[in-house]
Amino acid sequence: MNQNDDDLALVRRALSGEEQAAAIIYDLRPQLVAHLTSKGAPHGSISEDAVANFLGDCFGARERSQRAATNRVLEMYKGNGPLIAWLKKSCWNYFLDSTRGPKPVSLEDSGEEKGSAEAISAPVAAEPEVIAQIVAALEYAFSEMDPLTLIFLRLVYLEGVSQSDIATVFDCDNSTVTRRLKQGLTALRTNAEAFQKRNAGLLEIEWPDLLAICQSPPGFIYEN
Amino acid sequence: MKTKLTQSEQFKILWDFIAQHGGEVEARGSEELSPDQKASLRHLASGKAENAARVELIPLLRSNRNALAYLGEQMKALRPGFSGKSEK
Repeated sequence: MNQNDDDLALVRRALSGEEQAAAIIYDLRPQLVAHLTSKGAPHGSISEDAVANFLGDCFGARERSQRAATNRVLEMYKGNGPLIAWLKKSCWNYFLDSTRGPKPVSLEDSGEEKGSAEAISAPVAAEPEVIAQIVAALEYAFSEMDPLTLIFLRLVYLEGVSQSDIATVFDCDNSTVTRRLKQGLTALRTNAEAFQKRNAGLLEIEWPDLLAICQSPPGFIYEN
Repeated sequence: MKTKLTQSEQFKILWDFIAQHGGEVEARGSEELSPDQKASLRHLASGKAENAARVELIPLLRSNRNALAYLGEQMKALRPGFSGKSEK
């Protein structure tokens, strides 16, 4: 019996009404709050409430919607990965869902906390220190970029110049321009992630989350 | 890059974010361009510049956003790619 089996057994006991098992899951609450804030959610009542609501839904506190197979979110955990990883991912999705309106939450039991690169379309409010960290990571990422590649990126994406015109002006193939654009964005991501990894003590903000935070409107105000 | 956002959208988001939060990246300078610089950029935009001229302009394009905007504007006006020179 591996750890995942133990986790699944714990979940089943909790869902069957065993209070001790449910308490063990509720005791994970601080970890979930810390996970949300580490990914850019505001500290304080917003994250705490989101986790409280999520855990409530895990045990069916919310009325079942017509399209939901169950009103107990925890039933979707199938033991394919560590329970804590599944809870963190599901709780983050739950938080994002609460910020972006009535869109269905994906709660697939993927078995692990995947580094999904799907960008998040909704703006996410972030703490000033998270913003500062992202600025530092992006400053580094931009500074490490090949100068000509950055010029290509700016001409195409900011100035609206066609790739074929760039190829002519800079005397290279169209495919070279296309490749540089693609590699440039990849390099931005790689360098930003490397910056975070190299600087111990910084939160590691995944790329889709970083993009979501960068999309936040200026002056976004949140409650604490 | 696996994402729902296009490359263009991603780049704009990141660039705007850095600009909004005062990040120090290249191309933040906005000095007025001299007539000579404008002439050089127009020549570059025509697609007729030699490699040495291109290389000489790269530092200006890196450091001065007006220079890059001016080059972009000239390239869109002249459309050097229509000459077919880029089809190698």
